[in-house]
Amino acid sequence: MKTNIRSLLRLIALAVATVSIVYGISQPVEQEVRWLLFLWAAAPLLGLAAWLSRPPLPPGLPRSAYNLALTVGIGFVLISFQLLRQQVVQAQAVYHYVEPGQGISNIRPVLASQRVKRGTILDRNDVVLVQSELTDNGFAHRVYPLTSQFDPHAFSNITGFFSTRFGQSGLEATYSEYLSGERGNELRNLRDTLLGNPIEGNNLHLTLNATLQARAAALLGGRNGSVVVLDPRSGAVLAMVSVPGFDPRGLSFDPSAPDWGVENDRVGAYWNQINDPAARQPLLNRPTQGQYPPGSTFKTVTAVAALEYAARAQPEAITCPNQLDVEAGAPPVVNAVPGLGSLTGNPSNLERVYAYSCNTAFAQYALRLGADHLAEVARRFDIYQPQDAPRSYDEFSDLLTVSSRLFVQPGFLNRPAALADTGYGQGQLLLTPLQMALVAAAIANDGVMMQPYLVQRMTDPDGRVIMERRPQPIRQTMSASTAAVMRRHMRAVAQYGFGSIVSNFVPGVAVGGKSGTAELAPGVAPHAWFIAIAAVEQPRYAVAVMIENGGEGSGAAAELAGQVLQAAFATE
Amino acid sequence: MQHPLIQRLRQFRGIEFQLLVTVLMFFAAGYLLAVFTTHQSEFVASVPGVLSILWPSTVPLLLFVAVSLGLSWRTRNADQILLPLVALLSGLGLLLNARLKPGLDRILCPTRDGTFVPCYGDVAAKQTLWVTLGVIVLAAMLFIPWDRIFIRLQRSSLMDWLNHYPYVWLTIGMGLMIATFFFGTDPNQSGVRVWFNLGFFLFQPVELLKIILVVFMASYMDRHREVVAAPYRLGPLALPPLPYLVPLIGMWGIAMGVIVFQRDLGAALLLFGVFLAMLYVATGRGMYVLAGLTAFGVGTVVIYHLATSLDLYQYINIIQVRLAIWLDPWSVAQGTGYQIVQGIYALSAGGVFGVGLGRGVPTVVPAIHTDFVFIAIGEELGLLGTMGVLITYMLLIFRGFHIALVVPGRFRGFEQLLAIGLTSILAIQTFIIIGGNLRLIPLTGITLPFISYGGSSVLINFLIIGLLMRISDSSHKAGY
Repeated sequence: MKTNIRSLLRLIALAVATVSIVYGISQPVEQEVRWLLFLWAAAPLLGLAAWLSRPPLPPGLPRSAYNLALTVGIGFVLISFQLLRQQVVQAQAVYHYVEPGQGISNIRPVLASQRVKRGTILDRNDVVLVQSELTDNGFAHRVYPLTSQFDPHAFSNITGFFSTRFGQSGLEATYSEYLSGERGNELRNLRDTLLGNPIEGNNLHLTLNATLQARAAALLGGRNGSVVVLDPRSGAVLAMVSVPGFDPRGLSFDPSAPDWGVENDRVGAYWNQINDPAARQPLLNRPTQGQYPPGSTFKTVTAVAALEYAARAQPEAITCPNQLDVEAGAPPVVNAVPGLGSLTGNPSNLERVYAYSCNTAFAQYALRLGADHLAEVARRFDIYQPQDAPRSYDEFSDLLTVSSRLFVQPGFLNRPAALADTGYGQGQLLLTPLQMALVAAAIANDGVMMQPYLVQRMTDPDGRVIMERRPQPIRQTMSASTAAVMRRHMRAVAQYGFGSIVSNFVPGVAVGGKSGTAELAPGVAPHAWFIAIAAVEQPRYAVAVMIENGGEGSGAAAELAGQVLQAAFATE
Repeated sequence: MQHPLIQRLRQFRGIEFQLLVTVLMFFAAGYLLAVFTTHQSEFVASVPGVLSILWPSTVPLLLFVAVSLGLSWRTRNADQILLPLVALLSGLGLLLNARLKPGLDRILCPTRDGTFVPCYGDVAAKQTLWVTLGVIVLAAMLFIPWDRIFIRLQRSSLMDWLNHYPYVWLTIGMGLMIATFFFGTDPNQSGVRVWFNLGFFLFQPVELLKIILVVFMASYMDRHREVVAAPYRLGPLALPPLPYLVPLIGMWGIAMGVIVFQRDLGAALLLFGVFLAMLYVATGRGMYVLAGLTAFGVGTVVIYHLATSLDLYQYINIIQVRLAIWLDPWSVAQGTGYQIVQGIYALSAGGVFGVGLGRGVPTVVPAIHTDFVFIAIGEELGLLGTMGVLITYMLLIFRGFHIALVVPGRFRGFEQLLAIGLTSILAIQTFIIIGGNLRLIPLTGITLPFISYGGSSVLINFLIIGLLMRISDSSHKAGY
């Protein structure tokens, strides 16, 4: 009977201790204290179980020594469980854990990556942009052959940097596992590890046209801004420029340098330099991470909505007054140019108010459509309302991309004035240049918005293709007929509307476009936008350009878009 | 009557010899691997090439074999398991120091004239020297006829001599502590002044102190072990009888003194832990241990609060910082938590099988060859390596307790308690440092017995093993 009670007690103690340890050991890294609490709580229970299992001994030194040995044994059992957690259960999580706000991370993945001959990054014409060289001491050095032809600043947002100290950005970051060979060729790596050969990574073959990319960056000059050139039929990114850029060589540690300390200082100094406010955020990839008010380019979305919900947008006729009072107490909607009505005609139609970018007309369209319908059409272009906006825009996963917003404050569109402002591209709209390019591309591609992508395929070190990207539609954003009408309207802009200078750069090609001048604050130069498609009858390019504080969209931005299209056709 | 030669052969310590040879081969292979992976260029695949690499590790290990063979002649009854276990651990220490040396050589310290020199000297060669000296200490303990010498000079055997003068030991111990306070130096900016600079060698007096404490306690407790006096009453409180109360309070005072004056939390914890272990084993009263632990905790808290209110920053620091980095090392990962965070990363890199000897980067963890050497094992040899080391320590400790229990307590109570105390030193020290490394308990800097680099630590640990083996031999001689 007594032994039964003992074994029952022992069983209970062991069971509770086991539950406590099993629960505690699965706690995440941040909850280490909770785990320690559960582990230590299990210690007396384990002690009890051990004590109950001890053979009965008379009081005296042997019994005390036995108990002491049991205590020591339990101490070692605790150590074993802690080892199990730190080396096995949570090892992966700990290995990559970085405490927010602390500049300390595990050096091991970095060192391992330094020894890997990372893959090469090539453009669509097999121009080598980035590759790794092995130095004599077995380390790899990231080098940039693109610098022999192009300005490396033009490519920094695409390729990103690869630093042993500061991590990676751009494609180096998103495709790090493939470039380092961790994924894609596991078997080959195992063989190389066992043989002591350097590990080689996989190569990225981009959709990018390096010549066009460099040319577009040069055309932006020193102005902060973005250029995006898409192939609307596939979604392939032909150029994606962010100015200012940086020189990735500045962050590439050269292990063959005679003095690693000096080399480290050089990298550290360049890092500080590009993180200085005076450098104007070269690490930001503006086309995908910059969120800007789109100005009148957004009238394209409103126009699509008016065509898709033609019944609500009725009547066909629209006016373009100089001023439109929407809501008592709110400032009236005004046009950028007085007397616009004389250009559009009165009554006018969608094509003419679109071509002459009439704010008051599009405010009226937005009010006719209502908030729900405008939001629904915006959502087709992945322009989200705040409540359902994802943090990152997953349709483009090659680079860090933020999602675009129709407005910021919940319930903003319920106010008629806000709805009217949004209709012509002001309000609280925040769009990435990529998103605007996708709007243009969807119109160019008969309403089908294609997933943008930058990596056409990946090959292993032997040249075998391990991933080939096929064009993927996101969705049909509008009917093909709406798209055809919109192409006509965009053509009208380039023919006689605001921003028609875009056509001057590509004689013989029918260009379509839309300008945008995003007002920021009184006294601050507005952002200049232009979206364009070419050729209208059979579009091969969809372009979005955005110049921060660049002034009139129909001026500087239209000119830049024209030059970019010229370069695109020239480099075909 | 047997032939004398056959009799000699029967005395051959076969178990010990076999185990030692296994350990030797294990480390010859490990050593070659470490050298091959960490500095390939020095490796010449020829017999002299291999031997030139192997000699630093094999010399002390061959000495183990020599000691083992010698024991067959002299004290064949001494325990046969201790020596191979110690060879395994100290061999692993040699292996790790040889493996860590190239990494440690790259850690540079500024000198007074602005140039940079490696912070750590040739740890591999020095550790070889220490282990060699350690084995010599061990041999001296076992082969020199101490009993005969002492009987001639002192009219008592070695153990009796140790037993006879408890208060001399106490005085020496206290003197050592006070001397550390006045003459202690801090040669490597660790923040605690607990070394004696003996010119050729930095000696840590606390290492000696722990043996003196055990000798004193064994002697004292053996005298008072039959105390059945009624609890000492102080109002409603039932205090332990006076013979236990006095050392309890005295030892508590010493531990607190070590914290306050030397700021050495690890040493205080170790000394107090060993004391409590011996007190418990001698009296069988768990309450004393509980009371002692409570007093230690309360004392630490009082010191902390006193120091806070008096604004004595250095005392607040030691307790507060240790606790803070225990509970959340990540939030101070760039400062005081750097070491433990790097240790956590290193352990996580190890996984089950480890990254492989010579293939990790353990030297990013500060003090990797001393206090954090267990982490280096975790990174490069994985969970299998760390568990193997833990099991080795368990075997060593249980063997030590076993030796104590084989001693006939009624006649040789001192030796029994001495063996318990010496084993407790190894057990508690191992637990404190590994537990600290692993964030199981707050980190306090002490060495991992036999594996950590360090002269005093290695020598004293070998002395402990020498004493344990002597005790195990004498228990057999007495006919048990």
